[in-house]
Parts: sequence; structure tokens; C-alpha cells
Amino acid sequence: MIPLLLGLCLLLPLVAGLWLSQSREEQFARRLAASVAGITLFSATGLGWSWGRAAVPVDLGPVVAGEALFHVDALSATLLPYGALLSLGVLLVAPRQVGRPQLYGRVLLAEALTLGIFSTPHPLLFGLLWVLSVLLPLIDLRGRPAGRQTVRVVGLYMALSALSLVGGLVLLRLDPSARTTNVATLLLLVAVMSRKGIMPLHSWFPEVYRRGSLGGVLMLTMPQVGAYGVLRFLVPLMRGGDPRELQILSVLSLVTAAYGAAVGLVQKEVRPMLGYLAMSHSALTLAGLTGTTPLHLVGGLTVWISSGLALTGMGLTVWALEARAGTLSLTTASGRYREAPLLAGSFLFFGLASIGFPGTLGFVAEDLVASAALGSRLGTNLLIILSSAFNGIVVLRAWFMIFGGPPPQDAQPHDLLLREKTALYVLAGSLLFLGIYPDVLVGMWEQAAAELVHGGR
Amino acid sequence: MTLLILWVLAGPILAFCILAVTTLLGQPLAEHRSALVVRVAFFSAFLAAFGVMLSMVLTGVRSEVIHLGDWFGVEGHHLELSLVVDRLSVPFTLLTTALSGVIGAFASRYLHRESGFNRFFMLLMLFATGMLGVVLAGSLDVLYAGWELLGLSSAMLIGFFHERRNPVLNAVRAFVTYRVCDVGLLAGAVLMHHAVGTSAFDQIYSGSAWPDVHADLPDGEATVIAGLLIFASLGKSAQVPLSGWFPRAMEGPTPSSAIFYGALSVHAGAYLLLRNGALIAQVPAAQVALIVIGLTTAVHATLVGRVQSDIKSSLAYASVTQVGLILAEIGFGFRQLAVAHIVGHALIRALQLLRAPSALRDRNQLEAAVGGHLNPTGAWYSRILPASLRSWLYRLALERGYHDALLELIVVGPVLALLRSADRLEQQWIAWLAGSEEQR
Repeated sequence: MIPLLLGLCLLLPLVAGLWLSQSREEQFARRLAASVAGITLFSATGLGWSWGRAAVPVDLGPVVAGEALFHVDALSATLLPYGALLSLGVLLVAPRQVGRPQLYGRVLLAEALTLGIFSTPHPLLFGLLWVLSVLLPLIDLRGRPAGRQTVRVVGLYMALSALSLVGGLVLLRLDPSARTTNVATLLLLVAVMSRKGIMPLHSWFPEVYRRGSLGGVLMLTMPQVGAYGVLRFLVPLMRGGDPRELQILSVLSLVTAAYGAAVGLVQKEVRPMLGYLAMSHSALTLAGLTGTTPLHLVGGLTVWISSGLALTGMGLTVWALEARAGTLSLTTASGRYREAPLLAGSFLFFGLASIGFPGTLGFVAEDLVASAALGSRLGTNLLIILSSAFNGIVVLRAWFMIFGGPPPQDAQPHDLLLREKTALYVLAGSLLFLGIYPDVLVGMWEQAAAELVHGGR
Repeated sequence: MTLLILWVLAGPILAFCILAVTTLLGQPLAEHRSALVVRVAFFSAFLAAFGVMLSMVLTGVRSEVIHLGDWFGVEGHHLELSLVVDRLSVPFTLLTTALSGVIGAFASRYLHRESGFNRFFMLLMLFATGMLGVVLAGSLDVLYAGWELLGLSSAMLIGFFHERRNPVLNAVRAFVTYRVCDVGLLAGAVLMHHAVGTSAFDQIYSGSAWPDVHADLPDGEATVIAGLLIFASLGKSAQVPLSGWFPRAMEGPTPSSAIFYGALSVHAGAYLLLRNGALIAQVPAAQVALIVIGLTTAVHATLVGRVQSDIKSSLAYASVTQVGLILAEIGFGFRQLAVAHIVGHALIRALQLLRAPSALRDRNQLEAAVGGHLNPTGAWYSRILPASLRSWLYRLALERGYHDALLELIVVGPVLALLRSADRLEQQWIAWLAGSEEQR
């Protein structure tokens, strides 16, 4: 059953994506893409459930260079539904005016690449998919206003990330001696830092939010494939050794988390604010994953999923709102509540979920990360607390500035479309369900963390 | 006992879910149905709380910790849900359920045909859940969850009339103050775990039952944690120098002002300090700090309150004055007196705030009854203070002690300037990378 479901998860979006990239009819493309993403989510969830019954890691696919191309374990079994859910959300909310048929195809292709990454421990396939996954958003960016400059900026960082990754993985494969391993580790660190926007390689992160299509940007940043790379390739390298490199990465991540949250406070528009918020959470995820105990890893994984779902929900809300109201400023109270009360509720819910509101998965994530940091230096705890405090202010300030204030004179209420409601309710429901019953996932992550820390892939 | 306590919490939670789900489904309840749900929720919660008190009196149990099990757990960490029922939490539970019920009944008429009718009650339920979470919490972790609900519901109710600019800006200001001070609570909880390996009150403090409990933390840690908890309480209780948001919070509907800033939320900081009173008592520096802060706030607020030109601001400063005194009482170690003071103050201030819209009418009726003007209060000031000092004090009071201006000048301004510089540098760096003259 698992091979069949994994095949569906990988091939269905790939084939449909390639086909839709040539499509000309918008409505058909949207429906087909959403159906494919729905089936993929169903298959991925089924895969996770099937795997959970036996809970035994499985190698799948052809063996290349002595290693199977695909591997399903606790980590993959939970990440595959997550990646599929993000894609379905993006496809359902994509506003019609930007809904060029090619966009749907590209989202499906990005989904296929993401799910491929989440199911492979093979360095060569991982490197290939990583490189391909950064090309799609660059194509998307080229068609945007001022896109060429942004392509240059993002392209520079992504090229650095891709070259470092490929270099690191090739070095590891060719010569596993201690000295080469050190160089390879450094290269992998640079790859992860530039892909995840960790200081000092972070500047592209808010920029891509400022200028990119939100759908493409969310597909690029929310899966956090850099975090997957850390778990699959960096954590096992450090196992049993001196994790100095991971400590450096951890400190840089925490500084980035606090810095992103702080600079988010002074943004004048919603998109860069969202970018800094996402950067802060992405860094916090990495800070958790660079720990050396199962508690650290479970904390990092929980932040990964909770912030991913919450910020995707926020991003989709902003996308839907921009389609109705245009650019959203944070300098004055714009009074958009009357136009879109449900979107106001949605923005608030996802924003609160991202900052750890009780009852959502974010609260569990915040608690686990704070607990994991207990044994660390006081500065570590302080940076986590500051990030949380600043992010909370960023979210509430944005909500009041967007939805509060006198409504525009021509304000008309716009109800949410059924497809938008579906996407937002499913994301919100997931955050609530997992927030109230976190053991559903935490148990699997504990197993994944134990495998990563004590052995296995 | 466990069932009764769970029912106390379940009342507002269930009512919130009913109101939220029907609104989300596009079928919001009619006003009279919402009001009924709210009344049933609070009445049943109050009865359950009363049952708890009765059971304690009859059985002679002074304190009981209710362990509800682990919410979630990973090897090395489990978040245990525990509630504490004792002589501190039960009076606060009764006060919360009773006053919330009264305010709910009042608001169902006061907000008749208001467009945010159901939103108000959802936020009231969220607040009640948070307040009950704070007062019944058996550990700092659980208390923090309730504390967050309090902060959010408070900010959302200040900005209730969100189509006006001022309530929105004031809500942001209040939330920023809350969030900054929440750092103290979260850091305090983390340090508590560092120091004693837990944040459960029954394990941190030894002794029979509140208030006869003692702390035995290492001195250094005790001092820092006590300082952090005092800092956390300053924001919620609007103490000097963080009281600037408090009169601005009066932009919310009068019933919410009554329950938040007259009755319950404003005392949450005092509750936190009472719950950790044994720790405060262990650190003389913390006691002195509390006394100084409390008395300074009381003097400041009574002066500023006297020059306010609207009744709600006047009452707000009167509240702050009393809370300052309560904090000083906690500093002196008079914990039971502080509880009595809180209960009395909450009841009288909530009543005053609910009557505030009719203040002029009330005054006219009183004057008609006594047959002349009422004597002005505070005339003794002019007898004992020289004229030059009076005018200086008047100016100081009008400017609210210059606290906001000083905070803006010393803290907020420089921090924001630094962050804006960082943002500008980021954009210049991106423009350079992009090779774009226009973006530079």
C-alpha cells in the first residue's frame, strides 16, 4: 500500500503539473489542479496513517549508488501530508486575476518536488530536487513588476545555496575522511542558512515576500526543505561527535529569529512584515532542530509544522485580501473589517496560532521549544522569549492596522468564496485539532527524533 | 470537587464555542439567544464555584491540587494540567463568575442592536476562560496560558469600536505593554524550571496551604524570579511607569471597562504576586520594590485622576490608585488583607463604571435630594499646599507625570530608530545586490 500511495503522491502532481504548464484554459486548469492536489493530500494522509500502523521504516524505489532512492519513516510520514496540504491551500485560494493556467501547473510541480524531497534520504536525488525547487519561483518572479531585480537577488542566494549543497553532498560521497567531512559540513551549513534565510544570509527572505507572487513564495518558503536537509544530512553527521557546527547554527538561528521579529515591527506594508515573520519562525524551527536531544528535535518539528500551517493561512488570507483591496499598508488603520469580516477573523486566528496561542498547535510548539532550551544558556532562552514577544506585537499591530480604522467610503462586504473558505477552514481545523490532541503527531515525531539522534537515517 | 471545578471552566468555554461556531457557519445567534447562552454559562459556573466553596467549608479541606493529567509529553518534558483549589483561588473564582455574569446581563441590554453584539460576548467568554485559567492554575505554565487569553481579549475589547481610529491605536498600545511585560512572566516560568525543575506551585512552595506557605529557592534565583514576576504584574495592573495605556483602554464598551479595568483584569497582576507571595516574602528587595512601586503609583494616580475631565478616566485612575495600595499591601506581607481589598474594590469599582454613563443624572438627583451643590472633594489640597506647588502639581497631573513622554524618549524612540536603521540597511543592501538605482 505504501509504495502505491507514495507513487501517487509523487507522480500525480508531477504529470498534472507538466501538462498544466502548457494549458490555456484557466477554469479547467484550476479545477484539475485542485482535484489533483486533493487526491495527493488524501494519498499522503493515507500513507501517513498506513505507515503509523506498522511504524517501521521502509526503503522504496531503485537502489542508486548503494542506497534506495526513497525512504518512508516517521519523519516522511508526517511531512508528506503537510506538504500536500500547503499546496492544496495555495491552489484553492489563488485569486482568479493572477490565475494564469501556468501558475497552477507550477504549484503542482513545486508540490511534486517538495514531496519528493520529503521522501528521499538519497543525497543525489535530494540535491537534484533542491536545485529544481528553487528554479520554479524564479520563473514565477520574472513575470512580476520589478521582478528582474528580485530574480537577481533571490537567484544569487539560491545559487549559493544550491552550489554549497551539491558541493557538500558530493564531497561527503567521494571522501568520507574527517577533514573532508568538516569542509562538507561547512558547505551544508551555508546551503541551509541561505535557503532558510539565516543571518547573515537572510536578506532575500523578506524581499521575495515583498515582490513575489504569494502563492509561489509560500510554496518556496513554507515547506522548509532546508530544515529537512538538516535532519537528514547534518544531524546524522554530528551524531556522537562534537556538534560545534550545530551550536553555531543554533546561535545564528536564534539571533535571526529575534532580529526578524524585531524588524517586522517597523514594516510599513503587510508583505515584508509577513516575510520577516516567516523568517523569524523559520529560524526558530532551525534553532530547535539543531539541538542534540529528542526534545529539541520534537520542539523544532512542532514549530516547523505549526508555523508552516499558521503562516500559510496568514499568507493565503493576505493573498485573498489583496485580490479584493489591493496593496495593504500598515502605516494607517485601513478599516478593511467591514469589507471582509471573515478574512479579519482568519488573519487573527492564524496570526495568533503562529505566536503560540493556547488551544492551537503553536502553543505546544512554544512550550516544547522553551522547555528544550531550559538546559541551555540563559541567552538562548532570552532570545526565544524576545522573538515570541516581538512576533506577538507584529501580528496584533498588523491586524489592527489592516482591519481597524474608518472603512473606505466605497467599502462593500465581500464574502469568501467556497474554495477559499475550504482552504482556510481546513488549515485552521488542522491547527486546532493538533493543538488540542498534539500527541497524534508528537508521538510520531518522538520516534523520528529518536531515530535521528540515536541511529538510522 | 474535580467535576465541579471542571464545570466552572467548561461553562465559558462551551459558551464561547457555541457563539464562535454559529458565527463561523454564517448563522450567528439572535441577541436574546446569545444572552441566554451567556447567562446559563455564568450562572452554572457560579453555582459550581459556590459548590466548591461549600465543599471546602464542610469538609475542612484548605487546599487541593487537581491533577488532570498530561496534555502532551516528550521524553524529558510533560506539560501537566493541574488546578489548585484553595483560599486564594476560590474567592477569585466566585468573583470572576459572579461579576462576569452580572456584566453579561448588563451588556445584553447595553449593547442592544450594536453590530458587534456577539463579538463582545465571544470576547467576554474568552476573558472569563483566561481569568479562570489564571486563578485556578496549579503551575506557572498553565497560568501563562490564561494570562495570554486575558491580554488578547483585553486588547480586542479596547479596539471593539474598530471603525474609529483612536480605539484601534489604543488597543495596539495596550497590547504592546502587555506583551512586553509578558516577557517577565515567561522568563520567570523558565527560570523557575531552571531553579527547581518545575513550575507547579505545590512543589515550589512548602507548607500546609495558602497563605501559610514558604519558598526555599536559592537566593540569587529567587531575587531574579521575583523581579520578573513583579515586572509581569506591572503591565496588567497598570503600575508606574507603565500606566499610560490604562486610561486609553476606556475606549472600549463600558461593560468591558467595568469587568476588565474596574474588577478583574486589573487585579490579575496582584493575583500573580499573591500566588507567589511566599517568593516575594523571601526577597526583601522585592518587597521594598513592590511597596515603592505601589505607593508611588497610588500617589501618581490619585493626583492624575483628579484632573481628568471624563468620568471613565477618573474611575480608571481611581482603580490604579487602589491597585497600587494593594501591591504595597502584598509588599508588606498582608496577603489576606490584599485579597479582601481586591474583592471589595472590584465590586465597588465595577458598579461605579457600570453607572458611569448615568453619572450626571445621579449627581443631579443627589443634589436635588440634598437641596444644593455637593461639596467638592480634595479642597484640603489648597489648604496644605503652597500655590506654586499646586500649579506645578496640576501641570504634572495634566501631563500624567510625563511617564509616556519619558518612555517614548528613553526606550521606545531609540529602539524604533535602531530597527528602522536596520530595515533601511537591509533595503540598501538588496538594492545594491539588485543593481537597482531606483530602489536605492
